[in-house]
Amino acid sequence: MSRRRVLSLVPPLALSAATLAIGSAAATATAGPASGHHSLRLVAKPGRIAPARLLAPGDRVERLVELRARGRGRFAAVYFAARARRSSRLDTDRVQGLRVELRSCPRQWKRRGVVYTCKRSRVVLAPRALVGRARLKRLRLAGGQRVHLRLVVTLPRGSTGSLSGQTTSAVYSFRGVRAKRR
Amino acid sequence: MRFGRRAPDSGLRRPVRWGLAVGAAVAMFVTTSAALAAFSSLASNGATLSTKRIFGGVRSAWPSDVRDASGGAAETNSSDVLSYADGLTVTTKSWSSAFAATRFDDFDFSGGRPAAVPVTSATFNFTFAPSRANDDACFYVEVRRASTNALLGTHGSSGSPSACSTGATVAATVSVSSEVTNTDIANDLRIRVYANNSTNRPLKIDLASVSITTPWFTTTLFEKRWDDEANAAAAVVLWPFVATDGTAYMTVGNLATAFNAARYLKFTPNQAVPAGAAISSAQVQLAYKSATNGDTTCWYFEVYNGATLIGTHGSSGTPVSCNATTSYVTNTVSIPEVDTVAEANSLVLKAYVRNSGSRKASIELVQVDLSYYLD
Repeated sequence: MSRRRVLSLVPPLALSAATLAIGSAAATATAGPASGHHSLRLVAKPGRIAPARLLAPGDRVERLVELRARGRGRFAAVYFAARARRSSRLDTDRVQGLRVELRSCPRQWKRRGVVYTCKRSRVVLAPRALVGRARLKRLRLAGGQRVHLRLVVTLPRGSTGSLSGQTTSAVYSFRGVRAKRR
Repeated sequence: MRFGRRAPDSGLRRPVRWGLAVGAAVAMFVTTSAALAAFSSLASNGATLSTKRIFGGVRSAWPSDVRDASGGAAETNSSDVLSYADGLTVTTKSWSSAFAATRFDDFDFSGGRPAAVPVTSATFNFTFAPSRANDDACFYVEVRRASTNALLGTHGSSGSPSACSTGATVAATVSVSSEVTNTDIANDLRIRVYANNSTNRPLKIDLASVSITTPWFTTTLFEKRWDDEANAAAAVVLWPFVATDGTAYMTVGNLATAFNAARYLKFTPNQAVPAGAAISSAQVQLAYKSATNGDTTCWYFEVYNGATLIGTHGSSGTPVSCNATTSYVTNTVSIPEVDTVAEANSLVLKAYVRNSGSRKASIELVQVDLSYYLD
């Protein structure tokens, strides 16, 4: 191989090396020990929430969700998102349609009749339209910890008949953002 | 020759260099994406949420079928002539031989159906004939909102009418499904009929109603307001019983000073409760007074499921109320015995009335309010 030919390969090789280095650095900085069985994971149980049928204006549906952090590290933030797999006016009408609220409890929620109670519960998501994404407030979650959430879906009392006979299939997601290691 | 040897080498080197560059970029993208994916963790679950087919609420119905035995003899059929195809007709004012934008009849229909229920089909039923058998008459229609008079759609035209008669009675139907798409519109519906008559004479109308079908119930809307502008001048006829608006029904015969089983008024409200509905409450509102000042009129009533008596409210000894004033008095009486769909849809109210002066009574309102929902 001539010297000229060798020199002609230098720029692309340098570019390749640089990009690989940048990519590897990014992976190291953010993922850290997230590989293998130590990776910090967020697990929500149950995987499927019981359906709520025959809702009427003023109705309120309570469902419990347990969020668990598995692995090492901690989450700097947890986001709640809801989208409609099957949409209807229940989710597109953001004024009269379904609203969602989340409260956390350090212990298991206790069932009292048709509602769940917790003495030290805190609002982590103020009432808002069902579909959308929001950061859960005052929610700390480190590896090995769990938080007990009560998800409340309400159909506002003032909802009109245009929301009758509607069906929405909602998908709830919790996304945890890992804190950077120090 | 030197240039001749270098040319093929240069053609090879360029793709190789670019291939390396692109490959490196792809490698960077993949590596970085993997890193960012590890940055967050996702957990998800789902649920189905659905609402009742019809929300709970109060729906009202008014009678178009009225039988009057106030005089103590046989019942007089005092039903709304326009609401039933029974051979009884109303006669309009005179039309012109040509259609005109200012010559029409408006029919507004009573509501009371649950809101926002989708309507799968709607038909305007119009049975008519020219006033003379040897005349010709045609019509076409507009669909409008009663509250705003907003035009929703037109069916037929002056050049292509919806139907014509060459003298005989014609039972025409016009589909208005494209405009009456839900019960919000059905509850606020006006049909405007443009007509003509070959000899500039009136029409006789036997029926002007609207049949609607929804996924949960089928019903007929009866007119409550008829504005005959066949001669381009308004002439409004309100059907009584549907509002406390001063328009009242006066008994056909004179009443007696004592209650009598043979002296009564029978009202059949136009109720359409869907099968499977749960009825939580029912009540009757009736507004009445004496036709003559100074008289006192009293009443009580029975509730029937078809021909079967299911409840009595008040009695000849203790009427529901008496009214000695010159103003209408409205009584509201709960009828808890009406708690099934069958009872609601076959409801008949039989009101016994007496008058201290052996004269007539005026009835302004007869309304049945049902609170129900459908799962």
